[in-house]
This record gives sequence, structure tokens and C-alpha cells, in this order.
Amino acid sequence: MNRYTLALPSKGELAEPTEAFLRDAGLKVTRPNPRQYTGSIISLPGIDVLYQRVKDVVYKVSDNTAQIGIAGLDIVHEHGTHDLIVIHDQLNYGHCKLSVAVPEAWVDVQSFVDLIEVAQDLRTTQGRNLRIATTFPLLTRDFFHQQGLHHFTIVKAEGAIEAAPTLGYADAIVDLTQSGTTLRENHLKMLPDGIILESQACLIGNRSALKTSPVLLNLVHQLLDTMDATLNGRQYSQITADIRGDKPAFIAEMVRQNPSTNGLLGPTIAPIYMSDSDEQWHTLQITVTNRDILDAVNFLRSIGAAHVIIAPVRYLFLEMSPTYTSLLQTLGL
Amino acid sequence: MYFTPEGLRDTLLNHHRLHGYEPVESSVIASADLFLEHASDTVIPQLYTFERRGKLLVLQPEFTTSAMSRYLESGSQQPARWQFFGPTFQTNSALSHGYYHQSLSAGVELLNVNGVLADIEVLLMAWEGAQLLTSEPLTLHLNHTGLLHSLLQQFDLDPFQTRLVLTQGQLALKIALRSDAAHTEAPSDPPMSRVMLDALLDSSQYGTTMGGRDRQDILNRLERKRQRQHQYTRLESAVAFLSEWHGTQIEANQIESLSRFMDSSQPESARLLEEWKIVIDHLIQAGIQSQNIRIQLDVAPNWHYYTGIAFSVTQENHTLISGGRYNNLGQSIQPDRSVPAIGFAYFLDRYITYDNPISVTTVAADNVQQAITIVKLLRTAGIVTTMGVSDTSTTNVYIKDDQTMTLNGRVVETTNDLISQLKAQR
Repeated sequence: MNRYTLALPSKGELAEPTEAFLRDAGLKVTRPNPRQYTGSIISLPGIDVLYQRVKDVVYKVSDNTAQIGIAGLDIVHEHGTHDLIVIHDQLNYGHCKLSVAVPEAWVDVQSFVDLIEVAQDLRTTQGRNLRIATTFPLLTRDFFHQQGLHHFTIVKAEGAIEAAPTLGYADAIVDLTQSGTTLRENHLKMLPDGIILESQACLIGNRSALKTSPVLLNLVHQLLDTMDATLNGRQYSQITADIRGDKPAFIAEMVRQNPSTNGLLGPTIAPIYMSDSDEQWHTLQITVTNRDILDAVNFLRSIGAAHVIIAPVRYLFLEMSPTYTSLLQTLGL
Repeated sequence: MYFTPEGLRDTLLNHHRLHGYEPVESSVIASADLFLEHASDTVIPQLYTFERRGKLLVLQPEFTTSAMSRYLESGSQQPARWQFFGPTFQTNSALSHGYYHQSLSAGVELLNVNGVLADIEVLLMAWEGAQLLTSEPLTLHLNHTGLLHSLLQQFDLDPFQTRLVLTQGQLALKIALRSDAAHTEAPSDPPMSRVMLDALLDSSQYGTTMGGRDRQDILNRLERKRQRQHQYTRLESAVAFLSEWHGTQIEANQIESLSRFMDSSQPESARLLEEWKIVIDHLIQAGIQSQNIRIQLDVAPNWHYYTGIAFSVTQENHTLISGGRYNNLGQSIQPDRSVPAIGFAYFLDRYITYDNPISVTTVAADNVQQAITIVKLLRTAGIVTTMGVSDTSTTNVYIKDDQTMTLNGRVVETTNDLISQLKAQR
């Protein structure tokens, strides 16, 4: 096979963020027509893009119709097969939680152990199982059994699951939630120890296709390099500042006193050639994590820095893509 | 010692038949509900459950539950001695063979019989059955679920608490400690009244979303949680008791020392202990050496239906047999029937060999028609024969164009001689 297929979500919560993520990573998908289900990525000429519903992305990668794809971890865990592997599990968007929620009116239920007892009560008093509405029967079943709740009935449902307890065809639900607003609007509450999975977007691949095609593996290597560099870059900023002093080594020593201004390896320092003054100034450049910016700026000021410029880092390529290294291990290559 | 599956089946069927047990078939697919009811938390994730048309089914993980269901369906009031042989399904790699998802098991169930004699009969049959499978040293592990449950009654726990104490230990204490202060009162306060709960639910719209419960259900449970706060000391004592029980190590001839866990107010516990002692004494008199019996109070059985003696037979660290008395299983299936029963299962994968077990004779000939004729003759004489495909493990017969026959290269004069020599080799 000379060409390979990347399946992307065509609609739903992940569709737009996926396009944006790929665009940021320099992997803009060109789609001749928004209603068309195919596209291409100019910077990855060996790849065709196929738009599918998220669930179908997982199916297509499992059966090797597409060799790689982007989907939510929740769908991957529910519908994935042995042939499917998660290549990158933290694309850092599409965050949500798969959680157990019960009616707010159940003031006696504060934790999963309470739910276990309610399930027993229902069997004793009503002669029936606790009914759980969900589109995630496998994950729900595994989680409930792990927690020691064994008697329940899964009510399969598609959409509007939050309404099930009000309509009376389920007692509780298991569903995805981002902020919990929809649950609250439907008079439901999440159980604090009822979080089944913390999900986000992930890159998936077909195991046997990756193992047997060096060309595909090379394409995935390029993809992961760019994705890792983009995700790394988002965590860092670059600081450029002017600082008074005539000895670069002395300036470097001062800058390195604070861990937040240590940079990835250390500061880069270069002389400034001033035309109208005899003062000696240098420019220093360091890469810092975003959370350290304010601390770094304050420290640099305290040691005589001026003209501090902060610029976002778009890409940060490490020596090797860590995700690619871990993929090779997973594949046993 | 290794057996072919057929050899194993014949050996065990015969052993159990001599004890009066008739072979019974069981369905591989069963309704999951009963198994889920009685499986321990360890076993449940290992079950192969699946849904069909809204009904949860399971690939049978053991024979006992099916045996009891079948017995109840038969409506019989007479004792039954049944034995099963076939696959059971659990994802536990320790039991399943290689990449297969099934294990070969045999099961023995003595239904509608109670008492010490029945326990002794089944335990001895299990021990002797294990000895048929291996000449390696065996250990009989004994526990008594019924005695433990009887002793726990002194703490007056409800069924939910009993199960929590038995399976979770310290977690039961945490539950008792959890105050749920926002919704339950301190023990000294009066219980939350119906009026207060109604006011709480009516004051907000969420009173309309109740799932399948009503306000009385919630109120009852709130009250139970409130009362449970009073019971903390009792739960603490139960957990401490259990910890001491599990930590007790005694020899088979010291079983009477367990009487220190009971007082005169527990005649049922004393009776069960006495019965247990009688069973052990008889096992020793019947030839099981005392040092091969291990009293094991700290092992929770995989199935919660045991109500009396629970036992296993191990070879080194491998469980060969596991079983026990289950007097309440029948009632949980058909509430108006009480069927005392005891049984056990063998885990056989370890003793099976799939190496070519049959002595095969291979016939080749210059003339195919000749070969077919000879093969038919040999098979008629009861000799396992293949045509043309030979390897080093087979006995090779060759017939030349001039009708000369050779057996492994040596000339044989007549077909009758050939048959005699082949039979002699077997």
C-alpha cells in the first residue's frame, strides 16, 4: 500500500478542536468541500484524510480501513479491539469525564458504596436490578464490578441519557460530562468516587498495519514529531531581556541562581553593540515554562534586566519524540 | 501423571460412579443472574457474560449452580448424586489452559442430603479422586464458612454489613464512620422526619427526578444510615474478631481450640464446631494423615453460597479441587425449597496431555487398492490405522507389488501374522 488513511471526527465535540489542533501543528487539513468526507494534508503527502463519526473512526482503524485516527479515549476504550492501539493518549483537548450520576433527590446517596446498598434495596423491595442508562455498557459493567456492584441492568440508550431518571426508565446514568452543567440541569449529581474514565482526544493506530509497514511507521513518526513539538511548545515561552553588565559568564551565573530562569539548558547571552553609550549591556534568552513566567520576570528585573520580551513557543522539538519511542516499544520493534 | 481428556474423563467418571454418582450434562450457556448473586468479587470480573435480547447470559463458570437449578426444576424430593464433566469458563489464567478461555473441569454434587456422613463421603471421594490424578503429595485445606457466619451473628449485623465485613473488612468501618452530616443527624438527634424530607425535596425542582425510588425508600435508607452510626462499636468488634479469626493457625487435631471464639450463648456455633471435629477425626481414621490436613481460616471462598465446610485439595501451590457445603443455594433459586447439598469441582487442565496418545499403524503400498484393503482389515481387527502418512511415532506397514508385507522393515508372511504382531506390540 502506497497511501494511508487518517480518520478524523466529522462531527461532535471533537470535530472542530481536532481541525484546530492539526492546524496549530502545521498539519492543516485541506477539504475541497465542507460536505465532502475526504481531505488531504499538504505537509504529509502520503496521507489521505477520511471524515467519520467518532465511533466509526475507531471501527475504521480497528479493521484497517484507516490506519490511524483521532478519537476520544472514552470511545476507544469502549469500542476498541486488540488490533487497535493508542499511539498518543494526551492530545490535550476534548477533555471530559465518564461518570456515574444519580438523582439529586437521592440525598442518602453520597458515594458509590451507597449506590451498592441502594442496588441491594431495590432487589429486596422491588425485586429488580438497579437500572443504569448509558451508551458505554462495557466500561460501565467493568467499573461497577470492580467497585463491588454486581446486580444492575444496563439500559442502552442513544442521546438524552440525562432524562432517563426523570422519565423513569433508569435509576441512574453513566455519561460523559465536561462541566456538569447538563447533569445539574437535569437534577442529577455526579458521585465523587464514580468517575470511570478521564477522557481526552487521542491518536490511535492499527497495530498490524504499523508493525508491517515501515512507510506508515515513518509517516506516524513525522506526525508524532510535530504533535509532540506542538504540545511541548504550548507549555513554554521564550524570554528575551537586556541586562547591564560586562561579563557574560557573571551574568549567566546570576541568571542561573533561580531555577525558573535556568532555561532548558541555560541562558544564551550575547553582547549589545550600543552606538550612543559606553555602558556595557548584554541580551539574554531563556526558555521557561508558562507557569514560571511571572517569577522569572520578577527575578530578572531584580538582577538588573530591562526590556523583557515574552514570546510564545510554537514548537519545541526534543532530541527524539518520546511518544514515538514508546510506540516502538509497544509494537515490539 | 498426565491423561488424555478421554482418559481423564473415564478415570473420574468411573471413580464417581463407584460412589453412586450418575453423569449429567449441563448447559454451557446459562442465565448470569444466579452466578452474579453468588460469585465473590474476585470471580465476577472473570466471568464471560454477554447480553442477548436484553438478557444477561454467562458461559458456565462452574457446575454447582446449574446442578441446583436443574434439581429444583426436576421437582424431585429424593437425594441425587450427580457428576459433570466438561468445560467451564473463567478468564483466570491460573485455571485456563494456555490461550484457551476455557478449563476442563469435573464436578460432583450430592443434592438434598445433609449431615456429617455426607460431608465425610464427599470429602473422601474428593481426596481419593485427587490421588487418582497425581502421585505427588497432596494437602487438604479445610475451612468452615457456616461456623464463621454463626459466630458473626453475635454482632447482630444486617446482611449488607455482614457481606462488607467479610469481603471488605476495614471498609465496613469507614462506611460506619462516614457521617453524611449534611443529610443525617447526630445520633442524639431525632431521625429526619418525613415532613422534613418532603420539605427538602419540594423546595427544589429535583424532587421530581427520583429514578425508580420514592421518598419512603430514601427516608428508610437515611434512617438506616443514621442507625448505623450507633453500630460503629459493633462493627469494630466484628472486624477485630474477623482479624483474629483469620490470623489463627491451628493443626487439624487442635480444632477444639476454636471454642475460645464462642461462649455458652452460642449453642449453634458449638454444634457446628463439634460436627467439624467429627468430620476431621473420621477423615484421619480413613487414612488422610493429620499433617496433610491444613485448617485454613483466612481464605474466603470464590463462591458465596457455601454455608458449611469449605475445602480444597492442592498439589504444591496448585488447586486441584475446590468445594464445600451449600445448604442455602436452593432457597435463593426457589424460596420455598430447602435443599441441603455439598459438592466439589476438579480443575483438570494441569493433568491433560495432548501428545499423540494412540498407537497408530500406517499402511503404505505400491498399489493404493492393496493399501485400502489392508487398512480395512486392520481396522476391523480393532487396530488404529492410517493410510500413507507415517512418522517416527507410528508403526509402519509396507506392501510391495509382489504382495510381500513388511512391519517396520521386517517381512511378515500373512495378514493374520501381521494382525497378531501388531496386537502383541500394543
